[in-house]
Amino acid sequence: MDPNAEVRFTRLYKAYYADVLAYCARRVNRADAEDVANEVFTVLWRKLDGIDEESTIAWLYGVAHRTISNRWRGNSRRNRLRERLDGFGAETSEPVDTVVVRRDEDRTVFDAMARLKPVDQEVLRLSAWEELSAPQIAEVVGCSVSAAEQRLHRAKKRLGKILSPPLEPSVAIHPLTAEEGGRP
Amino acid sequence: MTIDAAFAALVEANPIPDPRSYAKHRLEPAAFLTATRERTKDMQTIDQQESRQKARQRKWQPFAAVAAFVLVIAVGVAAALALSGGDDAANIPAPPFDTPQEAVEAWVAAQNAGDGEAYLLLFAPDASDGALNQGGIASEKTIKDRVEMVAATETVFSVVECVAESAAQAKCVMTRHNPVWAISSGTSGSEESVVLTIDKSGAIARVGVNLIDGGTFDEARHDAYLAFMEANYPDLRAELNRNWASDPIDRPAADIGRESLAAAREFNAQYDG
Repeated sequence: MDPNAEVRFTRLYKAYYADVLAYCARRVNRADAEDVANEVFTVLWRKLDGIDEESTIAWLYGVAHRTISNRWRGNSRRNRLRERLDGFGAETSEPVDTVVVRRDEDRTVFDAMARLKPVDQEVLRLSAWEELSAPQIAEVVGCSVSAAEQRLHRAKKRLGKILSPPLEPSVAIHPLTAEEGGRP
Repeated sequence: MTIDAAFAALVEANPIPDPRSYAKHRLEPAAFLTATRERTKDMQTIDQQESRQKARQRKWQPFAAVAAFVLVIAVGVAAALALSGGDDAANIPAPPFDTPQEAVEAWVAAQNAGDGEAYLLLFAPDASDGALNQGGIASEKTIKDRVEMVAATETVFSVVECVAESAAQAKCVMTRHNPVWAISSGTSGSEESVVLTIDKSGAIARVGVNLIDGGTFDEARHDAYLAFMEANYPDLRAELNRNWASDPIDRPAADIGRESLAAAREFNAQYDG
């Protein structure tokens, strides 16, 4: 390992640990978030030589994204199996947006997000909360830049549509009939 | 609500708007690196212990060598009489394992050979196998089917590196490569982190698997693959992605089983045509 590796790792750790932990904590509970963040930086330490510093944050989010995704798959399958065996729900790692709701407005947004496809939710979160550009989102979720742009645009439209209150039904005004007390 | 207003509401709903204050109790980088090095030191300690054990064993080697020679001849004759031919399963080590790394090698070998029987023999009766993604609760038939299907679909596991975290536990990085799957979805295989623990009897007690790197995903190719399956093999298409419905970060998967292997090859030939 390069003798400067420790210096370089320390710099990257200090620069990005908080962002990676926040990324994880926005998606899983605090304990799991810390586990995943540590896993991400273990991978960083091991692959330090091949890291392009200009895209480090997207690379780190990508590792976290795949780690969380894999954990969730394991959890959801395990929980489904337990439900079948036990007849009731089992403990799970709740995404943070289902347990942390600070305001009614936020609850409305989270409810709307829950109605979107998971991949749409993720690109929206990456854009709104991690403030990533389309090329960075593409790197995190593993798609082309144009696909990320299209997906983000469609997801924003869908979110806007869900958050728009339905129009009040129009009321037609008819003159009262004589039977209803109107003029004959 | 306009698109911009909806997006602004989402920005406002960020559960952790200030990552710096949220992470104020983080482990310092020096402590993090120390913990990483401790794992390496554990491995070296185990190596030293093994070296000392081997040194003690060397004192008995002249006497043991004679006895072993006689024993080898006897076992060889017996084996020649008992076995009718070569058998890959015989090459897969069985418990008790002295180190978790040995157990990892056997675990990988059994999967690559698609030998469900040998795979089951590696585990303690109450073991948990995260590789199955079923929380350790699975029938023996399910486990055997899974292992045999892994080999039938030409998936190959390789250990990249393995570090002993203790005398009973190893943390390893391994790759999982499936050429057919890789071609259909454009990925170049995956890299995974495996934590394997052996119990006092030397059998595997627990295997935990986490995905590190799923490779680069070719979305256009994957979409074309699914469209191909929909058009030509609708019954098989219905089986694809069957396990991924509740994934919160939905990543399409070109799952390939025994039945769809030939169809995937057909697609690959057409697509690359």
